[in-house]
Amino acid sequence: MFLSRGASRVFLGILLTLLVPLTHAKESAEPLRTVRLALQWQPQSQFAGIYMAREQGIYRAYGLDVVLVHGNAERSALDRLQAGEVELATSVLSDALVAATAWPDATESESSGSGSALAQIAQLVQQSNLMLVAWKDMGVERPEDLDGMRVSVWPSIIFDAFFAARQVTPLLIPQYASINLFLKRGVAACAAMEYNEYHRILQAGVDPGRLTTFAMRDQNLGFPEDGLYATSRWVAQHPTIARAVREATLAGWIYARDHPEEAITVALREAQRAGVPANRPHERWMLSHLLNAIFVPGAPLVRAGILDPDAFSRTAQALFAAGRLTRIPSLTAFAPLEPP
Amino acid sequence: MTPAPELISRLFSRHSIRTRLLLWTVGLSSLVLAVVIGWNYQAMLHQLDADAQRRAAFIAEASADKIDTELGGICGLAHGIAYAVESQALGIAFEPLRTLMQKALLAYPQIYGIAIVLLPALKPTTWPDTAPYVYRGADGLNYANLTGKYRNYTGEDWFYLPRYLDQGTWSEPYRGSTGVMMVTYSAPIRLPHEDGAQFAGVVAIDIELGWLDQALAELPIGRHGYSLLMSHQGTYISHPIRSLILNESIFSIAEARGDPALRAIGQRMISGKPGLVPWENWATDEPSWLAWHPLETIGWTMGTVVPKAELYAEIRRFTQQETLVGLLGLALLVAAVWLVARSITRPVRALNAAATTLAAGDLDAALPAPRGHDEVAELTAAFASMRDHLRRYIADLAVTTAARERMNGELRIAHDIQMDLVPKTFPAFPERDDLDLFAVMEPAREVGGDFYDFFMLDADRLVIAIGDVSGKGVPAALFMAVTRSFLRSAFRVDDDPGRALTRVNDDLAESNEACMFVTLFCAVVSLSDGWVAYANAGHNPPLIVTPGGHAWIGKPFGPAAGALSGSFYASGGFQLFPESMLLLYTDGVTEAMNPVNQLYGNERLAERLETYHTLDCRDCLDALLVDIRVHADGTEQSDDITMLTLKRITPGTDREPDLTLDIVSRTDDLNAALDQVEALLEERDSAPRLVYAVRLVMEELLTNTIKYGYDDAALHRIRVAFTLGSPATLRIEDDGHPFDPTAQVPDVALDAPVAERPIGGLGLNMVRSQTASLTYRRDAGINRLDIVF
Repeated sequence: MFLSRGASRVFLGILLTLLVPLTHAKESAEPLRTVRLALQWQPQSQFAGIYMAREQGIYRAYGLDVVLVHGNAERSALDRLQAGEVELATSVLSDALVAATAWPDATESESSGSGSALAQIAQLVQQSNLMLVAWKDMGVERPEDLDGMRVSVWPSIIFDAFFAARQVTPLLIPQYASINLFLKRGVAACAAMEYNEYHRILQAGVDPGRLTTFAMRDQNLGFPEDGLYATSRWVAQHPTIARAVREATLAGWIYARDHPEEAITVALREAQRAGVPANRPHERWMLSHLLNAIFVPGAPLVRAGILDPDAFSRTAQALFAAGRLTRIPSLTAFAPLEPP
Repeated sequence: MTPAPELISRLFSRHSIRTRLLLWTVGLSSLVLAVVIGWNYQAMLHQLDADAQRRAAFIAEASADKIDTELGGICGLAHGIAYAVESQALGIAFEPLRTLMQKALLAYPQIYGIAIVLLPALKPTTWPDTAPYVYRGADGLNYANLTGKYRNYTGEDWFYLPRYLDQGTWSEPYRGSTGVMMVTYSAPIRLPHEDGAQFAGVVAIDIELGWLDQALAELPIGRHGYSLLMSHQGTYISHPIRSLILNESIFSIAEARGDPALRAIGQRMISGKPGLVPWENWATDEPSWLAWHPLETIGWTMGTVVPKAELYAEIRRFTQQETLVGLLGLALLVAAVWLVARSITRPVRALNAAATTLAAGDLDAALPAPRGHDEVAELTAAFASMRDHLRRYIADLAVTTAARERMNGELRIAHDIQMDLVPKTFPAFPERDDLDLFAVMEPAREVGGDFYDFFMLDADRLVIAIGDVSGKGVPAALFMAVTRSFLRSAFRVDDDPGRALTRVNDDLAESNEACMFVTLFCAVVSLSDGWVAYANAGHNPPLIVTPGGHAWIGKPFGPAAGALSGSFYASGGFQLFPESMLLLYTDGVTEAMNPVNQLYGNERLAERLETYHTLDCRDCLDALLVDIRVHADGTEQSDDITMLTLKRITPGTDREPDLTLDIVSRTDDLNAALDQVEALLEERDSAPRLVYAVRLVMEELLTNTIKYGYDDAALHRIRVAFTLGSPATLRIEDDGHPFDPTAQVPDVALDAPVAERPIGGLGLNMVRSQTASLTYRRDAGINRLDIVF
């Protein structure tokens, strides 16, 4: 870590001190600004920072009343954003890029073709957690062994790129919310987030020794994941609010990093409220992996929330090469809040 | 350190028999009881533990089977509907299908809802909906098209899994919209196709699992036991800790606890094989057994936890009862032992008291009456018998003691007679200074018949006697008394010893019906001249010791007196010179035995007396007695030891001589001296025999000295000292040639004919015959001759 825990608290303090007069003015002047935020998935500590920003009153301090809308298999967060049900949504970078160029709004904002229907407010997860998990006893030791095997994956150009690079042609089966098909040995391998599905497999009593894992970041396919998005139009209309969302969310994550057990407790409470099965060890595992991906060890804290231009470029290029992008939006159009 | 057994014995020996019996019995019984109870406890623990394991396993298995049966029926229903749809190749009309679903719902109360969901593309044109769903509502059965709720239903497990697994599949349990936990079984609907069966959709049956909790709660697993159900992934479906359900798996708990062993148990539990492990109840921390059994149908695991404590409680209860019964038995045992011990110790104590009384001498004390025929009774009887014997013995003893007292009285009388008869006052004649006499008699244990006697016959003559009566006791003592009387009276009649003995013998023999006899030696000693006349009736020959040696007075010797009348006893005689010692003794002396039966003997007696004779008589006899005791060396004395010694003493050596004459060595002076002495003797009215003897002795000896005593012609002085007295003594001192007149002629030669006598010895012999003793000493060139008349 670039900053020690104590130093980061100081950093947070400075942030809040700078912002409090502003928010105070806003609070006294007008009521809290309500924004709706669609999360990609059911309550879990993947969103711990956001929960903590809300729980600790950080959003409120920024003059925000953030309403969280959890996603499910039926409707993604971007669907909700596109439908205008929410102002904000979380998404992995690749999905956001595809949406940014595919949505009709794109052409409206920019004429040069480098426009973006979506505007990133913050790039939270800097590192890839995507992986393939395979049964060792079904003969999968190397990527090549997947050839001809039944493999369930989420639709993702990353896996396509992986298979293409390895020149294997597995029998792909769409993967949805559960990993039960894998656990029931209906497939030789399945897609997994290291912070979630992989650990669920372990929690189903499967020892790591029985599994072969292929982490995408090790295959040179490590793209940034969760980010915070709004439509470009909304950001253009509410730049201050967007910035406040960005700062407050980051502050929430810093709080979660400094108070992980508290964050886990809140995540568990959210899960319980939503009737979603959850347990503390799994949430703890998830949070620690996410924190490592948000506050990348070795990288300066100020890099948190920032979209790395190289990573953006690599991701966009990969998507373009895979034919998922017809054009590549400019970084400034895609991430207008990034410092120059 | 004291060894343990000794310690125990010391510990126990201090207590009474009853205490010891009780201690041992109670101690050992308690030990046995404790061992039995402990062993029982262990055995039961083992047995009940095994039972508990079996019970846990059995319950798990039975519950699993029951649930399997329930769920198996539903599986069959799902597949049946699927077959029905398949058989008509989706050509089945919608309404009958819906009716079928409703009927199934009515028939199976545990079913919440049934859906028949087809791939969107395969929806029969006659069907209004792709996914008809009949389910229970608050007011009867409801209907819905699931595509409204699940736009992407093909991604739901209940559709997705049977599709890609190509078999009926149980979903993971989930909480339904009603809040009740549910599980869905989906059977695939396959349509025949040229490439084989083609997936068309599923028949999905939602089952509410509320009844599961109910069923599990009813299991007979004890108060503190519980059952649990976990999915194939280890997720809790049923558990007393409600918060675990659906949230936690055994693996998540293992992870949270950092307990790899728990994870391993979880892996065994979901492995599809039954098992059993020691367990700790999560809610109560009680040690328990966890048994599990797979649910074959659904792939879940049924587990039962049976706490060991419940077994232990059962065992404790049993052990408590057992201990109570044991203690009761122990108490009975103690009472029994106490009674038995009392039955033993009571008579023993009574006996003890009686024994103390007996010991105190009361033989009439009451003894406890023997009861029954046991050892104590025998002991009591034996004790009574002993008492009786003791009583008889003491009575006998009294009689015997009386007899012995009587006998001892007789013996004492005999002893008294014996001791009274012999004179015991010494010095015997204190007024006389010319004799030394001492006698001892040491009677043996039983009185023998020894005696001695001495008395003055007249002023000059002393009678001494010693005897030994045959037999012992009173008769011997009386016989001795008689003998003494006869002897004394015989000497009053006749002073010749031989004739006296002859008379005594006749007197004794006259009235001796008991045929007793007595050995007897008697002598008459003329103290003035030392002549001893004697006679011997069968007695040991007396011993005489002179400075030159010893001699036995052997002859004459006659038979023992009293046996035969008419015996004749001859008298003998000898000269007892001063410095010589006469010893009379009985056979008790010479026949004293030592431990190896050797006799004291004559030789030793003579030898010792030669050594001791220069002592006075008392000391001499004392020394002899000591020597005899030394010889006997503790051997009991078998016969009386009686001894009598007599010594003549030359008087006058201490007295101032009555007449001292210094004469010169001339015959004239000799004659003048003779006249002076003669005048003195006559003046003093001396016996004519003494006058004659003195004149003869002086004449002979002085003439001899004057004639032969000197080589020169010079005149020498000769001193003559004469002392009158009883006896009269004469001392002659000269400085002539050494000459010992005593050494010249042995007196035994007196009996020889005159022709055989040595020349020149005649004068000396005459001198010797006239004197009681001659004592010569050469001292500083002076011849000194003491003469006793």
